[in-house]
Amino acid sequence: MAKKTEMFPTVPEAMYTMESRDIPAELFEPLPEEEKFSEQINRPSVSYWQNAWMKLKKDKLAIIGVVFIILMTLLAIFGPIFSPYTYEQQDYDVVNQPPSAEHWFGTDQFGRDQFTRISYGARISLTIGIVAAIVNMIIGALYGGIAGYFGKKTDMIMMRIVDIFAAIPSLLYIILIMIFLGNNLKSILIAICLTYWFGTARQTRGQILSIKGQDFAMAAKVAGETDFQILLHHLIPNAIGPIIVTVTFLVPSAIFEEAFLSFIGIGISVPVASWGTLANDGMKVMGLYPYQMLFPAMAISLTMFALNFIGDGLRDALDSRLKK
Amino acid sequence: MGEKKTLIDVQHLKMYFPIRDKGLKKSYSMLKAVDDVSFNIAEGETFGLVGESGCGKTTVGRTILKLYKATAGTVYYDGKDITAMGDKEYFPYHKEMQMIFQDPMTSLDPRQTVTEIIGNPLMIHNVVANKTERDEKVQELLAMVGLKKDHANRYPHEFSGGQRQRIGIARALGLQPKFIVCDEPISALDVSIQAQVVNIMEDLQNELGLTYLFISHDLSMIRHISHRVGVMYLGHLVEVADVEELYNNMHHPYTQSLMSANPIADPIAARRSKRIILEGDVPSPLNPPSGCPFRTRCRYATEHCAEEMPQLVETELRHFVACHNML
Amino acid sequence: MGEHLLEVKNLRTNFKTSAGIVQAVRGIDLHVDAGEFMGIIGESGCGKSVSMMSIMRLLDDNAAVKAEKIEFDGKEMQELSRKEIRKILGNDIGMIFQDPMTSLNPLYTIGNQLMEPLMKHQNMSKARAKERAIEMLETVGINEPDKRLKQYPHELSGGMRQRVMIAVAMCCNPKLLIADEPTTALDVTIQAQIMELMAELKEKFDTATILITHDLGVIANSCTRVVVMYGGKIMEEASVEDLFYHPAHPYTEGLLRSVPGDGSGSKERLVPIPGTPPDLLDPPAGCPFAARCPKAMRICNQAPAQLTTVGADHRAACWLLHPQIKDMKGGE
Repeated sequence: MAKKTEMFPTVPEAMYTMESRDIPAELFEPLPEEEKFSEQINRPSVSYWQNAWMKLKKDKLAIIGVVFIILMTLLAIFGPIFSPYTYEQQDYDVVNQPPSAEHWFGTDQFGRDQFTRISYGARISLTIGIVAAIVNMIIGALYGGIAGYFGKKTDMIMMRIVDIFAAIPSLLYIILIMIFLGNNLKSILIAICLTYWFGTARQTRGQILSIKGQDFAMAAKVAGETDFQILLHHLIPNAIGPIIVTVTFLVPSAIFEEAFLSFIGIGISVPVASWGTLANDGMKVMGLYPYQMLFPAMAISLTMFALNFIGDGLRDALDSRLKK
Repeated sequence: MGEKKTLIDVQHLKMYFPIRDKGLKKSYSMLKAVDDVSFNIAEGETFGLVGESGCGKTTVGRTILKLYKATAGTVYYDGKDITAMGDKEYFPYHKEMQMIFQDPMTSLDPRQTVTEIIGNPLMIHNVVANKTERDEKVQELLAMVGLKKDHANRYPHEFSGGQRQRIGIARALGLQPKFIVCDEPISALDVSIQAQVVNIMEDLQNELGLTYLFISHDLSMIRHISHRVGVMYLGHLVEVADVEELYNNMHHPYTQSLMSANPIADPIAARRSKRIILEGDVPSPLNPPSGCPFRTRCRYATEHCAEEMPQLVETELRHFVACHNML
Repeated sequence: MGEHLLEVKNLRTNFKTSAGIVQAVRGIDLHVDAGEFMGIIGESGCGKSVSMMSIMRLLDDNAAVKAEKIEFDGKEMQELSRKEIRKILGNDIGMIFQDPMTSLNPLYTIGNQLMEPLMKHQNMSKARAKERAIEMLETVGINEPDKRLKQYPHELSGGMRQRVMIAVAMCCNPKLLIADEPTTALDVTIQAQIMELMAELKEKFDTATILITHDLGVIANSCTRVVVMYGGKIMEEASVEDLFYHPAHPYTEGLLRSVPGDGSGSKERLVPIPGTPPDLLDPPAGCPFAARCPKAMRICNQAPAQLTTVGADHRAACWLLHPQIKDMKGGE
């Protein structure tokens, strides 16, 4: 109510009113057809994604998050390439150095450059994030989509399988997988992909259930489309918005999961640097060289923040239906 | 009217839906949405199906198009039994039989452009060979329903209700069907737009010789567009006749009260007309009354009505009524 | 004049949306007299419901309402606090909506919802309120009212719910009843029941009624005076007879011709109004109907026409009524 003037754009004074007696006669001539603009649509054509992007653009926190993640990605790609050091290169002349011009984030107890190791850690973390997102989205959306669309017995069996797997603590699988495949990135990826798609599948199923009865799905059936065509071309694209939001929130948990596993020592093993192992190493010497702990911890938490901001922004941008 | 070729022949169609009962016990009751309905539609004609919500008229339309698997009964299209066909065998019939939906807001996929919405069925049935041909054909179809070229790349939400319904019509027409089920195609539209859509449908019928099953609760529109009309109540067809015969010479008490309840857009005629106000509501189709389904609200009901279900009989030429105490 | 029950002058309502400001109601004047049955007819998005919601301040926060005057029963509504408005709403103004489920609370019994306003606004005792509630349910034609009082809205059929909502709206004996598409969601036979009931209640309690609808049939069967809205403006205002038999605005004419006649069953081709209603995000500078009007003139695209008197209690906003046109015709 405060912004009353803004809410009421001034209507320009009409040139003529009913009281005017001096209206030129030509104005009473019939209006030519081409000056009638009734079927015309004045608004620009906006697709769902364009509209979402427009909304996301207005969300400052989300944009900060996006910029941060882009910077982090650049760091992950180019950091190790352009750095004069490698992540495993030891230099006993410069152990436990504080940050300086040569070593931006300092060095660790073996004289390894922390900046290089953190940017290398970003590779691992972002790989995990991206792979987790893609795999989750594909498996979850298809599995949930099939269960939701076909319903009845199919749904019942498929979702009970999900329930059973989801009921077992994920740490158990992860440890088992680690035992069989060893402590490396591949096994962490497999472990995370195996355990994270349940949520996406459940959510997709719910979404599909709520839209599969809509007329456009029936229209596709009338046109002769098969069940899979309907699911892939109509239902999943219409359910994808909320699924993307869930997956966006999964990315930080997957990244954190790796950091956590590495931190407690069952994840990535030395000398490969991951944010979790770096934080673990740093913690041991936290009292003496706090920056060894500080930089990896900041990398983890800032990335978490950024991804959560993006998730929040996407939720607002994708969740609501297109408003007129 | 001379005897025309029958295009759609519906025989003893039944469509029951199992409904889970309330409570902890896992038991089902049968919702008899359509219970033994028979009628036929001659080629090039419009069959109006009228009734109140929940009477099963929409289910009839959907079951004919095999969107539901009929519980019993047969639908013949051009003499061929389509109810028994498998998906493969039925596939070419998607081209012959199409549908126009009630709610233009939900019947168009919100993520697709108009070109995709209208063009996809054409691609599926190989009516067009490639995307260029598709785009041309879409333009042609848009022009048929009075929309502009530059509308083709827009999304459904950018259109008004009437425009969207015309897109829906264009989609149905693309496959050059012979028969279209129109499921309440105008009830979600504004008055001034309804006439646009009805006119387009009538023009197309005249040009292309289309056959319609026009499902509606709007008695005035049904009278305007139909050649023959069937009145449904609680899953049963209670009266079928040619349109003027039905509107001037109705025999079933339900038809009569339905007609008199229809508000006429004419204040003086409205004041003159005597209304028969029906009491009570339509009974639940889960628990329909015994005998005649209408007997609970019927002024003329007798004990006989509760005992025996009246059958649809031809009382006059081409006029069928299901009532024990015909008016 | 001046002694109207409800008088609204130059009401404007705008909505803020992501796409910009939508001008839903663009300066309308309305009045209702005590005991009058008035209809507002128009297509979806013409501003008919929004104008009523604006008066009752029932709109969301993204709406802004401005008016020179919104006077109900001698009180300026714009000066009242939300609390005072709410008191008027349950008491002096009753409202019925299209979907009863939106205004009946699913968590409370019918009895609760009927008795609460009585106890709150009319200071009735519980026993007295219950008596009155049963009486009201009987008036609206609900059998076994004792039993119904204990039921929840979802246990009733659509027609029944609408009756209950009417009972809730009428229980405090309001001076004004606003019915927003009360029968649109109902079947014809139930619609007939509800319209009959509303007419009866109007006779019985002499409540002024505003009926908002898009259905010409419903208007013809119930109202005495009708306001036609289009594109956020009033196009015509007339008695129901004048409106149906001597429409002065081309839009009204178009509406009447686009429904299949008087029930005589003529197969005559319908005359639709071509095109679609204007986008109120960027409303046309001139007459909103100009783009679809078969009689449109150049002036119609340049300036809006104001309501002009056509006859007794009959006004229309159309440039065809401008005196210069008559002069020109006379000169020919």
